[in-house]
Amino acid sequence: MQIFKIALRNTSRQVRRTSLLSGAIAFGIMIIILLNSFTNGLTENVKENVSRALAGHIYITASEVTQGGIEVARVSDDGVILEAVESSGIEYTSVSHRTSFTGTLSLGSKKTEERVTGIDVAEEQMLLDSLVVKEGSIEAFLADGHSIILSEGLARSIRAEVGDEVLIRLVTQTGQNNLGEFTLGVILPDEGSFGSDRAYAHLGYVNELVNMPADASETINITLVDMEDTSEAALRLISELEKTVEIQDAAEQREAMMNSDGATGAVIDAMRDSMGIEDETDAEGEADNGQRGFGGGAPPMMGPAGRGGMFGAGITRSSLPPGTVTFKLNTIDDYTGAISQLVSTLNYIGYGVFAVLLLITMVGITNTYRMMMLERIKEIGTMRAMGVHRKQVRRIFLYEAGITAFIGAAAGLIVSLVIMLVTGLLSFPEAGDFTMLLDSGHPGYSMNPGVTVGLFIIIVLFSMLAASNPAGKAARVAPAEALRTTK
Amino acid sequence: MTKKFLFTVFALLLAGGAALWAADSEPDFAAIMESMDMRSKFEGTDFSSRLTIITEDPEEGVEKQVLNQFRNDDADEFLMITLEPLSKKGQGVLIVEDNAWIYDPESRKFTHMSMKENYEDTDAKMNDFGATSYAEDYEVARYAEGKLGDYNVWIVEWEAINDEVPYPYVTAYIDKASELLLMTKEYSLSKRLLRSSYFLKYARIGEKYISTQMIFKDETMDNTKTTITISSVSLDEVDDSIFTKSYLERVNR
Amino acid sequence: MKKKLSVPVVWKIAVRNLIEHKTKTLIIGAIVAVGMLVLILGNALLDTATAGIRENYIENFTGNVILSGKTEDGITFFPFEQMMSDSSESPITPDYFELKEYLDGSDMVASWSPLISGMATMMFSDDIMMPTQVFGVDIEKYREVFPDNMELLDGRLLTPGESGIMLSTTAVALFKQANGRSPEAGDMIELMAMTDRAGMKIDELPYVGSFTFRNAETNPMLPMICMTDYNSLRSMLGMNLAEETVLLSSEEESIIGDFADEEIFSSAGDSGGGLFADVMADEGTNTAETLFAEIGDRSDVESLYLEDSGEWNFVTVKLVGGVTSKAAIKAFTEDVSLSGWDIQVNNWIDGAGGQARMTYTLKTVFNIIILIIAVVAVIIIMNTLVVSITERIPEIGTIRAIGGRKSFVRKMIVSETFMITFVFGIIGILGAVLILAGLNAKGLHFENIFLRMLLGGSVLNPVISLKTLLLDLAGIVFIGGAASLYPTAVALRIRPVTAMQSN
Repeated sequence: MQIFKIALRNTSRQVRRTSLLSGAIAFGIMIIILLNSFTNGLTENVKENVSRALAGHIYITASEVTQGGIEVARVSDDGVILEAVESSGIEYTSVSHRTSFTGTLSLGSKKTEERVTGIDVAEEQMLLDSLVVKEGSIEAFLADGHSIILSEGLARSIRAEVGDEVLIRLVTQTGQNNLGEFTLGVILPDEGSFGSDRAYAHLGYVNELVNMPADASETINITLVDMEDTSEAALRLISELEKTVEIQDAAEQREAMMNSDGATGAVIDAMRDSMGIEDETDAEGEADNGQRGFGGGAPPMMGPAGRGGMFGAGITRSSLPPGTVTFKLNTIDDYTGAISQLVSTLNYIGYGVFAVLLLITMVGITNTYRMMMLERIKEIGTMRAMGVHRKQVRRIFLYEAGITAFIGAAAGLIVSLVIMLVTGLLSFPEAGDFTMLLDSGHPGYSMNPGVTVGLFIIIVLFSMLAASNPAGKAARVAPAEALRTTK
Repeated sequence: MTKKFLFTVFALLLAGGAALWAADSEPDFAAIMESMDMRSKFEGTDFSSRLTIITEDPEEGVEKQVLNQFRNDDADEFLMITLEPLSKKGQGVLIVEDNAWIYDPESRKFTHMSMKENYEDTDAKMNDFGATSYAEDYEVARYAEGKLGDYNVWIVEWEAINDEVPYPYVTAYIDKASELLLMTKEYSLSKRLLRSSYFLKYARIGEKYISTQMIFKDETMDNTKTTITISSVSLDEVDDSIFTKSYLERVNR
Repeated sequence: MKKKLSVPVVWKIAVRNLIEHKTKTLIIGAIVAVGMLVLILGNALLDTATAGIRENYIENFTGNVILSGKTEDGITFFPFEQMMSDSSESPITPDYFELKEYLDGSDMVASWSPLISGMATMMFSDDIMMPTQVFGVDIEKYREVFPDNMELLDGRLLTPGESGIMLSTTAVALFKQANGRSPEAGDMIELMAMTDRAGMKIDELPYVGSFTFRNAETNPMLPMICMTDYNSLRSMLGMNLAEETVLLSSEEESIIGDFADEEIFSSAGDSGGGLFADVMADEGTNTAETLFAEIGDRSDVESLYLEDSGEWNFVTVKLVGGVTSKAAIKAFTEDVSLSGWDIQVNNWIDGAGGQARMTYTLKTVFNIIILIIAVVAVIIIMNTLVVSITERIPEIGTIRAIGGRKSFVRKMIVSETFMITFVFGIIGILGAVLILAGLNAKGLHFENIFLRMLLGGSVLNPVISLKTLLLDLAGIVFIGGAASLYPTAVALRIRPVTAMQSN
C-alpha cells in the first residue's frame, strides 16, 4: 500500500512526464475506441437500415384462394403465425404487418409507377423514427390516414410538393381498378444507389384500396434480435408452422435457408420475375409479393406482378378449392446477398483497423515506457542508495506505469465518448450513397463494452510489462553504478 | 413500351364488338344487358376491319397507329398487321390457338411464343376479348332519365356483382331511341372517376352492333385519351390462308 | 567557412550519440519502422483499390469520362438497372457528328468509342427466352479504348463491319440448356426487342464467339452483357429511324384536345351524321389482296432508315495520361455548352452502375480509415520523439553550459532524428516490401464481392509504386525532423543552469 502511494505521488509530481505518457495512451485508446465503434456502427447501421427498409428479417406471406377461385397474397389470420412465433422460441423484437401494391402515381399530367408499402404506424415506430425528413413532417403523416411518404426522386418525377394531392391508380388483388387519393405528407431525401425509391402509406388505407379486410395484411414481418440468426429462426419457424398449416415447398425453402445465395443469383431471379419469366421452382411466385430487392446487387424490381404475361391483368386463377391457404417464408437473406457481403466487408475492415491500431499503439506506448525507464536509472539508483529494496523499487515503477496507463486509458475513453456524442449529433440528411452507412442521417457508433474493457486491461498490462523489464534491470544495478549512469 | 403494345392488341380485340342492344319500351335493364352481351359476341363469324388508334399524352404528344385485323373467333385465329406508323409498317401478330408469332418485315423473321400459359393463368379467352359481359358482371343499382347533348338517355348506375370486375361502378348513358350505349363513366372501388368512354358512332352489322368511333379518356391524368376509329368492316369469310406465316411474308413482299 | 565545418562535426556527434544510446535509438527506431510499415501497407492497399477500381471500371467498360444526352434521371450502362428506375429509355447522344470531330481534335482525348446499350430478349427455344443486356459497338473504336477488357472464351471477336453477336457467359449457359450443346460458329442467335420507336423487331445474328469481361466476378451485371455490332442493335432498337411526322386527317384533328360530354353528343360538336356511320368496307377494298398493295411497297419505309443516324447512348472517352477526369470534365462541359450541344458530361462512376457506386462509397470510407491510421502512427512517432528529447533537457543544459550554441544543439538533435528516421524508415520499407511480396506469393483469395471489387479481383495482389515508397520515406523523415523541433526549442529556451537541475 505504501508503495502504491509512493507510485501515486511520483505520478502526480512528474506532471509533464505523466501527462505526456498518459496523453499518448489516451490518444491511442481514443482512436482505437473511435474507429472500432465507428466500423461497428457502420455494420450495425447497414444491418439496421436494411432490416428497417425491408421491415424485419423474416417475411411470412400466404396465398389464399378466394371464393371466386383467385389466388391472392393475403394473411387473413395472423393468429396461427403469432402462435408459431411464440412457440418456436425465436428471439424477436417486433412483428409488423405490411401490405403493398404497385400503382401509378400521378399528379396532373405527370406519372410514375411505384410500389407503395402500407405500414401499421403503431407497429413501425422504429421505421418512422429512422426516416430522415426532407420536407413535411412525420406528425402530419400520422395525423392523416390518407397521407403518403415519398422519396425525393418519386416526388420530383411527378413534380409533387408537400400538401399536394397525389392520385394512385392500382388494381385490387382480385383485379378491380381502384384509385387512391393521397396527400403528400413527407418527402424523404434520396438514398443514392443503396436505397430504392420509397413510398409509405397507412396500412388501413392501403388495405382498403387493395380490397383486403382491415385486419389482414399481405405480409407479416418479424424483426429478430440478431440478424445473424435469420436462417436458423426461419427453419424453426417453418417446422413450427408446418404442424398446423400448409407451407409451400417446405423442403425447398429449408434448402434455400441453408445456402442463401449471393448477389448474382438474386439479380437473375429479380430479372426473371420482372420479365414474367418463371422457372419451375418459382411457379407460385405470386405469393412472393414482398419487398423484392434492395441496393445495387439485388436491385429493386418493381412493376406489376409477373403473372399474366401479355394479356392478363396480373390475376392468378387457382385450381385449388376456395379457402385454401398456403404459407410461404422469405428471409432477408433472399434479398440482401450484396448487403450481407457489404456488412462482412465492413467487418473485415473493422477487424483489420483494430488490429493495426492496437499494434501501433502498443509498440508506441511500450517503447516510450522503456525509454523513460532507462532515463530514470539514476533515480532508481538514488532510491536503492536510500535503502529501498529491489522488489519495492520494481513495484513502485510497475504501479506507476499501471496508474499512468489507467489514467490515460480513462481519459481516452472519456474523450472518445465526447467525440462520439458530438459527432453523433452531426446530421447528413442528404448523404446520397452514404445514407446506408448512417443512422437516420447521423454517424452511428456502436461501442463494444467487452472490447473496451479488454483494451483497458491490455493497455495497463502492456504498460506494466514495458516498465517491468527496465525497472527490474535498473533495480539490479548497484546503487553507485546506477547513479553514475547517464543514459 | 410493351404496355402500349399490349393496349393496342387489347383495344383491337375489344373493338370487335362493343356496346349494343335491341330496343324495348320498358327499361328492363337486365334483359337489355343480357341481349347486349349476346349480340356483342361474333361467334362463328369472320370479321375484318381497320383500326385507327390515336393516343394523346401530354408527355409524349400525339401518336397515331393504323392496324388491320382479321379474325375468325371460331377457329381461334387472329391476325393483325400494322400500316402506320411507317416505322412499324408490315409488322404483324398472328395467333392460331395457343401459338403466337410476331413478324418483323425488315428482317423478314418470325418469333414464336406459346400462349398456353397466359391463357391458363388468366380467365380470358380469345372470344372474350371483344365481347361484353355486362349481365354477368353488373346489376342495376338505380336509373334515371336525362339528356346527353342531343340525345334522350337513360342514366343507369351499375354495380359489379363480384370483386373481379375491373370497374366496380359504372354509370351508363343509354340512348333511349336506339338503346345503344353512348357514354360510360367508370369508377374505381373507392368511387373515384377513372375513365370516361364515349361511343360516338355505331354500325349495324347483321344482327350485331359495333361501335366504330370510341374515345377513352383517362380521368386521372390531364389530357390523356385514346380515340379508336373502326373502318372498312367486313363480315366476309376470311380465307384461312390469311392466318398463316406465309401470308405475313407475302404481304410484305 | 565556419558553417561548412560545423555540419560534419554535428553529424559526427549525432552518430556517436546514437551509437552510445543504443537502446534508446533502437526503441525510437522500432516505432519509426513500424509506423513506416503501416503507412506503406496502407498505401499499398489504397493503390491496389484505386488500381482495382480503375481496372474494373475505367479500363473495363466506362472509360474516364462518359458523354450522354441530357437527362435528369442519371445514366447507367446497364439497361436492367434502368428498367428498375423510371427513366424509360437511355438518353441518346445528339450532335454526334460534331462531337466526333471535337473528340478527334481534343488533345485531352487518347481514344474514344461510342456505345449503344439496350435490352433485347434472346429466343433460344419456345420455352427458353432470356432478357439480356446488349452493348452495340464499333468494334474498332471500342478496342482502341478497351484493348484488354474482354477475355475470349470461344470463337473470336467481332471484326469491323461484321454483323454478329458475342455471347455472355449467362447467354451461353441458356443456349446449352436449350440446345444441349455449346454454341458454335455458324449458329444463329435470335433476338427480339420491343420499343416505342420501332415496335416489334426480330433479328438473327450469327454467333461469333463468347466472352467475359475481365474481372467479371466483381460485378454481377457484367456476365449478362452480350456484344453486337452497333448497326444490328441500332436497327433492333429503332435508333436508325428518321423522325416521322404524325399525319392526321381533319376529322381526326378535330377530336384532339379536351371536350365537354354534352358538346360531343350535340350536333354542333358532333362530326355529323347522327349516331350511325357506314363503316362497311366497299366490296373488295379491304381484303387480304388489297393489303398487298398497301403494305407490299416498302420503299417509303426504306426511306426512313438512315445509313448512319449517329444515334448512340453513350460515348466513352479515355483520357491522355496525366489529364485528370476532373480537368477533362470541366473542359468538355465548357466546350459542349459553347457549341450548344445537348450533351451531358459524366464522370465514369455515373455510368458504372449501382454496385460501382456502392464500392466507391466503401472505398471512401476505407480511405478515411487508412488516413486516420496514418495520422495516428505519425502522432505516436512524434510523441515518442518528444518524450525522448524532453528527457534530454539536462543534457542540452550541460551542452549549453559548456558553451554550446543554440544552433549547434538544434542541428545536433535534428540530425540525430533525421538519421534515425531515415535508417529505420528504410528498415520499415524493407519489412513492408517483404510482407507485400509474401501476400503476393501466397495470393490471398476472397469470396466477398465488395472486397473483390475494392481490391481488383478475387486474389489480393497488392502493388506499391516506387514513388509512393519514396514519398512515404520523405514524409517520415520530415515528420521526424518536425517532431524534434518543438521540444528542442522548448529545451533551448530554458536557461542552462535550470536545464541541468531539472531531471
